[in-house]
Amino acid sequence: MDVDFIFKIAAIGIIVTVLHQLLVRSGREEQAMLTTLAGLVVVLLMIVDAISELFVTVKNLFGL
Amino acid sequence: MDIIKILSILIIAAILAIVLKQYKEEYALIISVAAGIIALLFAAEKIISPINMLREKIEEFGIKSEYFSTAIKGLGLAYISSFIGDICRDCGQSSLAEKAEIAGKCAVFILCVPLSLTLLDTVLGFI
Repeated sequence: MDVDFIFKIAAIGIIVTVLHQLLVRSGREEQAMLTTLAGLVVVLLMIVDAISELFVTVKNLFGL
Repeated sequence: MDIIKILSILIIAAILAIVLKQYKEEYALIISVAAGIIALLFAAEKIISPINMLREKIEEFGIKSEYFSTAIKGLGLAYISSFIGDICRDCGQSSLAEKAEIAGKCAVFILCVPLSLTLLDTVLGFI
């Protein structure tokens, strides 16, 4: 849970963008859409995990 | 020195968010949320020792620790509700941000009602 977390997300974002352009140029629009959605799901899972960790930490710390 | 580390992380995340904003809007937002979480986790860890020191000092004075823990709970609630409210505002959902803020305020209010009742009792006791 440090700097590399941000870079991982940025890397996934860039890769998905490149793949999207690649697939769109080669005429496969629907696969481009699926790739984008897949990348988004992966990133969302990572973010949900980070948010849950944040909430647990704050809950324990402030005694909520 | 640690604060410098966190500020640099936030700057890098902001720049990455701009880079990704042109291609995919949602990734820019997710990067800002991730950076916010890292900054908050860092701040939360740093805040532990002062809180404990304050708690021990307050118990020495004989003040009931329940008052202090209520204050800390209020701090945590405000902390989280403003964090989520700002994320909603980043998403462009300013109405959701207001709802988050209102929810946080209600929670803090509910927290403080018993405290104010005891205050009133003590004040009435004087009269």
